Amino acid sequence: MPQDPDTPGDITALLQRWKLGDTGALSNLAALTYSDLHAIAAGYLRRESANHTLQATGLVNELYLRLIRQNNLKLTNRRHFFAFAAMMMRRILCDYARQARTVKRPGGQSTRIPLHPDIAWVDAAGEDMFALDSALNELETSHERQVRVVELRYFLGCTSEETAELMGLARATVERDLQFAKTWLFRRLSPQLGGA
Amino acid sequence: MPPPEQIEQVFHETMDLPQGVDRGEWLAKRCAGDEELLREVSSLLDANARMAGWEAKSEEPPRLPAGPFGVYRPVRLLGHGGMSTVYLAERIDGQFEQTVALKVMAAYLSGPEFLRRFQTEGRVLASLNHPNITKLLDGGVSPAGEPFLILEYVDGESLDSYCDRHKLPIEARLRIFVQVCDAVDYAHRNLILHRDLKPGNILVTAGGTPKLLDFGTASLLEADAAVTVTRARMLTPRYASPEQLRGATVGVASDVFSLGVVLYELLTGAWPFGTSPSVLTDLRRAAGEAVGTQPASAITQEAAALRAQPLRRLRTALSGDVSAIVMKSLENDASRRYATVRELAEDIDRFLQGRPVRARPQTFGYRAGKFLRRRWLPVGATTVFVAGLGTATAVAIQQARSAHAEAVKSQQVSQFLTGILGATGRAQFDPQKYTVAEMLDAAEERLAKGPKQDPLIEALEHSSLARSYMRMRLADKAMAQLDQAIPKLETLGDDGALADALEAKAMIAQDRGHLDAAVADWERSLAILRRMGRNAPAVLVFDAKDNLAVTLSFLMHSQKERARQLYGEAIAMARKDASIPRTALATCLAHNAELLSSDGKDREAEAMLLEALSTGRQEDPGGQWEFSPLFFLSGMRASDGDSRGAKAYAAQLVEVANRNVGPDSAEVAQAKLTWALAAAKTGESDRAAQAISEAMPVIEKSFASPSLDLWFAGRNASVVMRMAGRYAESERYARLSLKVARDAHIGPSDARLGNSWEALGEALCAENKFVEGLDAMRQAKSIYEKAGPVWAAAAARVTGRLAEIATKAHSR
Repeated sequence: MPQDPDTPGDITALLQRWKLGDTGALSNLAALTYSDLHAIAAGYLRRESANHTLQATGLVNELYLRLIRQNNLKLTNRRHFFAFAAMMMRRILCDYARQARTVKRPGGQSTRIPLHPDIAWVDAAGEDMFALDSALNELETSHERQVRVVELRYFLGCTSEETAELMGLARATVERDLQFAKTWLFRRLSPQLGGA
Repeated sequence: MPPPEQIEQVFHETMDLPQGVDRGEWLAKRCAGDEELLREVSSLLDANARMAGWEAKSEEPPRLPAGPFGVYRPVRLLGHGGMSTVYLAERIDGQFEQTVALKVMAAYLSGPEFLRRFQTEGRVLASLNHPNITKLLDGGVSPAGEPFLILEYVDGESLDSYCDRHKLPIEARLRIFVQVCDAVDYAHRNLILHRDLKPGNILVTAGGTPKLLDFGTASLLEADAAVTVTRARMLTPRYASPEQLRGATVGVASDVFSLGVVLYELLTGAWPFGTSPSVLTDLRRAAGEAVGTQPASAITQEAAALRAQPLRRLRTALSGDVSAIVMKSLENDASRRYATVRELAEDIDRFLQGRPVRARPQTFGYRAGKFLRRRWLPVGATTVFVAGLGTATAVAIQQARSAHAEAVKSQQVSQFLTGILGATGRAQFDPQKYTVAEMLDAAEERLAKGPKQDPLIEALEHSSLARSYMRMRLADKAMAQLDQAIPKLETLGDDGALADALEAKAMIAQDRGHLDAAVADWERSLAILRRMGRNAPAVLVFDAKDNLAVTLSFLMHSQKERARQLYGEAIAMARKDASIPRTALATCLAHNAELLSSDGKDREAEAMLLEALSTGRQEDPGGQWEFSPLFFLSGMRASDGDSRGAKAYAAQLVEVANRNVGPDSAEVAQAKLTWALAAAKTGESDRAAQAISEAMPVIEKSFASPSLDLWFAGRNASVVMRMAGRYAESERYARLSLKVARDAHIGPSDARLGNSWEALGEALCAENKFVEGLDAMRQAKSIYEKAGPVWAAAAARVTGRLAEIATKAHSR
């Protein structure tokens, strides 16, 4: 890959290319930001369970601030940035769960970290995450938009209003999409939920 | 398989069915034989129901850890912290009847970093001994390897729910909050930051004592920066400061911010930055782009009920000083917040005692307003004086350079203030026997003859004395103090204090009609503020721009383009910067409207005046600031030929002045004059003349030539008296206004000079002194003709009158 991973200017350019339909840009983007995001996210999961939900904010914050500080991120890019960040967050959390499976937790007793209060049945620190990941992949084949909404809302922690703004949807549509996706995912996952 | 859109569609339709409709039956009908669709949607509905069941079940309490934890065992769960769980616990050995709070660190979190943090909390708490901070009793590690702390158990509820349940009014909430501040300030003085202040970490006992909990994220102020940064990520975003959200190193100001959010919520029941925190609001806050909503705007009917106050009253209570205090704590820029929690608490105390608060942007108008309002309270003159002078001094000090020096200075200045009282040479000082002016003179004498002190403090004292004299309308004495202060501040290079002193000087020059001098001082002040960049106090910049624009346009009628630009900048600045009072913005809008109207844009001007009224009323309905917009609105209605409308606004003006400044004031006299002008035109010329003869003596005593206030009053009084048939008085007032216009340094083609000539001409002709009268009218005509297109109508009017009067003179 020709890009210098420390140059956020390239990240912005890639976001632009991705927006214009260059799907290859997405994997480049992922490669450029993955290690950073992953390191930060891992830190979060290890330490953070305040309010018993996952806080994606700080993670996205760091990347976002880095981008806007050095390269004025425009509104059109912002939408893409968040869509991208949400996808990355999902990938990172699943990877983290995969690693965690091989590392036995000290103390023996496990503590659940619900991914989001709305879907508290998914333990972000456990095996539920693979199941969720593959369920989302499956749902994506028929309901792509709903999966993007789930990512923004549950993985990135956007509010419904913000999700609507970022997706260019009406808020009512976002609520319906969530209702449907949640139900669909629960049906798919309930036989194997860790804490359920 | 049916198409996904259809499944979705039918699923939503079924979910949306009203209660009581049999879903199964409805669905079977809806699917009309499409078995696959029916099966698919049914299974989704079933999953949805099970999901709801799971959510209900998950609320069951988790089991208690086995322990033992020292000599304690957990009894029931109290709550979850960021990285620990808190239980109610009791002694195993039953030696004492003692319930305690047991804080157990989450096992999966254990690791060297977390163990260290946990131990930090233990050390921190053990070192603190304050009635509003929970005490640490014991600590250790359980057999299962879980670190734990034993804390004093506080049987109470969180700060917000306590206040709401008891429906505490604003003052009671503020009193509890001040105690919380004391606890935080105590911790700060022990070099400990809390860093996770929120209502849930503040419990209030049944007796109403707040107790600060959870030093789990506390850090020592002197801890090394790297550790602080790592730890900064553990926070509650709702209460976190922008710098915390950025993951930057945080200081005392960060706790001030969190307390600000807690206070805001206590007062309004709402979060200052929107409905609730989310990724986007957090990012905006981290980037320093979010500005909190004014408390008065955030209040709802429901919140008002929980504060046992009607909505409107609560809105009023939450504007002004309270708003200034909260918003100063919530500044994005840490350096613009209160420097310490103590200062925040002191300002709240000041508010509770009805004294001027420091958070309030310090403009002359505000201080005068606060001062005048207080004059009606039954308090001794000393208190008024000291508080007033103290505030003025505080401004100067606020703008002084180093934070450390500030503490020393403020102490010395208050010693100076105490000294003033002794300077009268009486052991028993009786404030009732001395006027404020006499006390200021005593202060001046002491400053002139007293022992030499730090030159900066001396300069600041001269400045603050000048401000106090200005408040008393003792312009000469104020100027003498400024003449001493300014060279000293120039030598010392204290930009903020210098800009402030120059603005004061400009204000006096403008009052005296020395407009060129005023402009020069404001320009200098602005240049200094520009040089200070981001450190320039926003209010000073705003004031300088507004005042300079007033002088350039309204008073000098010369550089209108520059004035337009300055107004634009000042208004844009105030719209963005909540630290500038809405009332100041309203006044600035009124000034700008005057400029628009002088360009003939009356419609726009009137709209702007109405905007000014609604803007200022958000903060201080019926306050002194309403003077400018009401005054101009009355004038606009009058020039539109709507004398009734003009009179209605003028009546409001009299009321506002009466209420805010008192019946014998220059402001009430000016308001009466405006009313008289409108009343004379609606046929009430006798009452109008009566109002003039009440108002003019006050005005002539309050303003010395070449004050433009005096010019304006003289011209209007002349017009009203002529309409009432009192021609000799009309002539006298016209001559007064002409003298002022000549004394003032306005240009030879300034329309106001024409105005005065016209009034004089009309008065003289009414007295049948035609030769002199016609001469005056010709002067007026030639000035109007040179004054620009807006005055063409006036020129035409005078030309017409000249012809009429000449005919009349001939016929006699």
